[in-house]
Amino acid sequence: MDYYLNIVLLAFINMIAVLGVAVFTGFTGLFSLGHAAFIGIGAYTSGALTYHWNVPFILAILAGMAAAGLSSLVIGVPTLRAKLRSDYFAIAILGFGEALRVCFENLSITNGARGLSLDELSGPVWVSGALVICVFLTRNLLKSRFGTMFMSIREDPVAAEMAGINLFRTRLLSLVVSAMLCGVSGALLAHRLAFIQPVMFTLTQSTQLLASVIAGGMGSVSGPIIISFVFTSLPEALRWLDMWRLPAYGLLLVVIMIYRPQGLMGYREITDLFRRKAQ
Amino acid sequence: MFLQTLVTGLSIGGIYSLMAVGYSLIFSILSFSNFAHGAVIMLGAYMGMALATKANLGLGLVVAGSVVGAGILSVCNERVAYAVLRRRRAPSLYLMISAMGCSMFLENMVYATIGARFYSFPEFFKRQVIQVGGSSLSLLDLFAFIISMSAIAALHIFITRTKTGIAIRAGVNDMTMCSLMGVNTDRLISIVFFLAGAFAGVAGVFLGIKYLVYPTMGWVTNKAYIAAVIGGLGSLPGAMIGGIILGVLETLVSTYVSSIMRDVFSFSVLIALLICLPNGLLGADTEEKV
Amino acid sequence: MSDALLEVRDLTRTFGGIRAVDGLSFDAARDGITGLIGPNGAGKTTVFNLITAVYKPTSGSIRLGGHDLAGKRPDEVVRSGVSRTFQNIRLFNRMTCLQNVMTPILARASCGPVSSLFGTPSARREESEARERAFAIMKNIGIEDSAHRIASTLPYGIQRKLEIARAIACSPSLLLLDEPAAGMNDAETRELGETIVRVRNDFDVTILLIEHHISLIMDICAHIVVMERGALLASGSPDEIREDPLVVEAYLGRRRSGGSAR
Repeated sequence: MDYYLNIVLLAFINMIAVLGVAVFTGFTGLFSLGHAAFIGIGAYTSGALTYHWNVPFILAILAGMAAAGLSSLVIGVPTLRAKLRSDYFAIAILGFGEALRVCFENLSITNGARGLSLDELSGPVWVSGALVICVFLTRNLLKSRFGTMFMSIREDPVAAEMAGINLFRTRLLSLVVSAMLCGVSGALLAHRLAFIQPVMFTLTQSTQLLASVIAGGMGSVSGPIIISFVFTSLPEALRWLDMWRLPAYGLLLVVIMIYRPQGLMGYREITDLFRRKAQ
Repeated sequence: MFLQTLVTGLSIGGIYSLMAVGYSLIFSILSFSNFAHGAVIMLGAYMGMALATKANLGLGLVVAGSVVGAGILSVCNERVAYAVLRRRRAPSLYLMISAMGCSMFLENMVYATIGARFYSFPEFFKRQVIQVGGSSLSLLDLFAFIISMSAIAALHIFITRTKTGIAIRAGVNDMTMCSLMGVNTDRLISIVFFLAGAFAGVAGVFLGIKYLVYPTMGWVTNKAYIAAVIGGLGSLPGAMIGGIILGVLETLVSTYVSSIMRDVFSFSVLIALLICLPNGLLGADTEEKV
Repeated sequence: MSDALLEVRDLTRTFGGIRAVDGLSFDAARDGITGLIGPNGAGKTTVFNLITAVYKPTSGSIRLGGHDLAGKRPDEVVRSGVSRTFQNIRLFNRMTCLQNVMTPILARASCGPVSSLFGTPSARREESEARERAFAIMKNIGIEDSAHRIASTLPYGIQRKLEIARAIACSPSLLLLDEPAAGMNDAETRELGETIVRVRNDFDVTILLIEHHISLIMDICAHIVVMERGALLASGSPDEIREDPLVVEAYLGRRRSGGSAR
């Protein structure tokens, strides 16, 4: 039972990060290969706080979230300026991820490449509570005027600007929100696995997040969440496939882009489907 | 000592330039970041490796084989993963995602089939050094730099002097117009991908000789992407200059400051540059057509 | 000319060595409909791009209601009262018609990210006000039946009107329409002309109109500006333009001799 509970909790934690990427890539239409870096920042910030100073867990989570949000400004401010192509961001965050890993590996506060052993604080209540709160707040944001502005930028940045939207500020907001969600996910992950190491926050993880969002449907919240659950639990069930999992994700991304770019849910939510049936 | 560091920096910079030019070439014509470029470089290195160890070929033939192999691979990559999207005029986000998928697929296929083992090339140069004014320069470094620069010079001549090259430059300006003028854009794009792949092949072999050959070695291309941004996305001279500057600066930092700080340093250079010169050193003002 | 809302003076923009707009000066009278015509490549759309700050002028000035627009970002220009449509329709394709029209209204709403996160009453109120206003605009333009359809699935004519509705939702004092009747037949063009006049009256906007349907221009514009090769060729009332020998020769005349008069 503990084994399955653990898988479910890890899946929940992963969902929070996927939610972050859904806001940034799915709704705002920007590409990121480095959101694992924000998970890492959340994990290490909260981990260092509980490990070195016995800070209460809730404060550690909030600090991880804030640190991830602030660090996203470092890359976001120079690269998301209105007239720049979003490729600049995609490349800068690649470099950011690498630079950050080097820092994690060489700082004494992170205990270097050996990693930090932490207490297992993220119990079922914490994890499911955080997931519910994150989904609730993110859905509110995406249904608000900011969600509409994000989507309009995804659809056509030039027309969005001509609708009076400040591209830079709106894209930056989307980035900060998504980084904060990843930060929360990282803080929970660190205290779920009770151990963190710099190699855990690499490109592979960023790509898996991206794969969940794309397979689930860009512009949907429920789609990516469903897919991320499948993606986290399936490899556990099919251990023998482990080696072929990553090539399969890669192939999946290409196949989806060619045959079904709208993903599982397209631009709808699962609730829309039920609503349609009821009518 | 300084001269030695400089030559090492130039040789690394030359390899970065090779990678960045290939990436930038594709960017300039299709306006998307081909994140599969690193995987093509990695496979180029494996191909060179196989030719050198299994067939016992000399360096010249190894490079030639890897150039052709990586070139063909790059064209196939385009045909399978980008051509449909390109014809559908899909947003560049889709192309980037597809490219990322390819990169992930190729890299992990190598893991799953060949394995994570590190391979080393046979020693083509037996660590030969030449003495210049008291410092010893590695022949390999000099050779790598000269080959990189000649390859880029050859590309420059190809693009400015030949009919196909001029068609490519026209394609950079306006793809639709080009196809209306009767240029076969599919063929043109295949040529561009072949060229980029060929450059990746050369870069792969030299990276493999200088370091080692392993599945994730393609991630050195991160540096090439950064170099391309430093030079200005889509600009070929920019990619070359960006690569050399980055290679030299990095080597200076790791020699005189700390080798650990090298990657942190490249990232800081990128951010500092984007703040001062948002479009890179030679990038055009990217005003969108309305 | 104190009644001019838009004053363009000596406007020049070069691309490489080409002068796309070359020392152009003209006014658009407040609450009027001004036509901007000229052969293809005359630089008409470039003028729109310069007014909306998509491009920066090489030299010259653009003033709106006496205020210089120099140095503003496109979204700031929109907020100071200019909005536009595009020659090749640019809608938010995968959003509904209603969302398209609501976007500019929501873009200027005041509630911040935090109150949006928690869905506070003031955020909800703003949202429902935006919805009502968007419906009112769509009703006026006559597309309220399509409110909940996805923009990319709409017929061409409705898409054109939706773009106009979205531009009006920016609450502009100056509305720039870039070939709104492109690809329409005569009956559709006439109906669009009526819509444009109604929009001018109901929303108190000044309109600057690029159009190749000369009949539409002659019908609804009080003032016409003719461009050729980036420069001003002539300007005046429809009758003056019709009589102007330069225009007849360079523009209308050539069309007649080419046998493609509309």
